[in-house]
Amino acid sequence: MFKNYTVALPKNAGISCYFASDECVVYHELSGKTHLLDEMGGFLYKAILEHCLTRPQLLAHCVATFELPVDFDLEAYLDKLIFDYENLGLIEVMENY
Amino acid sequence: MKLSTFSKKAIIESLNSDGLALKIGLFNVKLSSPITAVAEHLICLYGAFDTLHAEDFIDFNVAIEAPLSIRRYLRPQVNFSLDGFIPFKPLPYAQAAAFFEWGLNWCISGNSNQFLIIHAAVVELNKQAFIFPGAPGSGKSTLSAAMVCRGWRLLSDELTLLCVADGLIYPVPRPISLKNQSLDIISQFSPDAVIGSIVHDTLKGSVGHMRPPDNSVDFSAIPAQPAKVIFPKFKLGANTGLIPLSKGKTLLKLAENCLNYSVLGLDGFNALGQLCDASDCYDFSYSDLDEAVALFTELAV
Repeated sequence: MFKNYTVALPKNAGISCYFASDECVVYHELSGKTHLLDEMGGFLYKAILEHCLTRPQLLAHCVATFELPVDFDLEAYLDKLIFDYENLGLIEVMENY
Repeated sequence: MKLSTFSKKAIIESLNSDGLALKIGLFNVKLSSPITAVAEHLICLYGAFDTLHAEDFIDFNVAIEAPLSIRRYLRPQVNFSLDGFIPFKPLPYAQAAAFFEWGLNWCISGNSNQFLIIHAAVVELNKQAFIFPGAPGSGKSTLSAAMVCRGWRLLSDELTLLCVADGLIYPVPRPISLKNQSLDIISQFSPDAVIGSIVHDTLKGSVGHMRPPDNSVDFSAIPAQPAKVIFPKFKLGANTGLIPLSKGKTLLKLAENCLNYSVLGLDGFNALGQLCDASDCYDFSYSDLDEAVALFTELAV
């Protein structure tokens, strides 16, 4: 995983979302698959839908919104989330130099 | 004219000649079959259905016939065909009538992409449709059979047709398929329930079909507004339990129970989103049908 990156929606992937309460269900038209994102994932995805976000911005969003346990490794959690979503084709990740 | 107004002889003659055409929900179905058990199945369970005129368009032209081979005589079998095409391997002769029902499920689910087709039973009371999606064995047919025995309208026990254009559920009330212990359960629950011939040793075990209520057939042109999506789970000895389910999880579970979700793509996803928005969603465990029906009747007030 890159040390710093910017996350955006993939171009021409045909992403559609269904939001209900704090849940987000994403439909990926190219793969035909439907994904239910967890609370933090859904929150971040909603933010990414609006505009591209860098890793520090994503971390800041999480810290500002969620009450996280002291021992929670947010950076590792976020990197894993972004890695998984990229593999599913839900986002594009570009390295920042 | 309703099928019940025809004599047994006339029905058998129709089935043996040009075929007998029936209005089944939205679909016009013409059935040909020389097999007496098929005629008896129709007489017992399809009496409330309207017959069609010769000039009416037919959606599904189906036949249940013995193959032209030695299997006509030796351990006899039957084929199901649609417009002459035989999509399945033959089944034992004794399963001819059930084969018609299974084959018709296949016809509808493969040729109705104006609907998102959910593998679910659906019943209605007070203009509220309750949808019961679930895998075979989850108890959705037993539950819907019990509910229609207590006055609910049957829309379908197997295929919920959710219209992509208007978000309404379109009825296809047909005989309810009951399997194994469900046959006894429903017979005891409602001794007036009419259950046709029971066939044993099918892939699903013993199978019988319950006649749909006449008024459900009479109202089969009227769609229903979805109100609840409930995932049932019959478990012997389980307490009646209705647990709210989030709409996101419901959408995902519904997608898994759709037969043509991948065909419809984004339209299917949007239709499920609208369905979840319009419905309260639950997981439901039960073992007592009286309690289950009472609970849902209260919910539909």
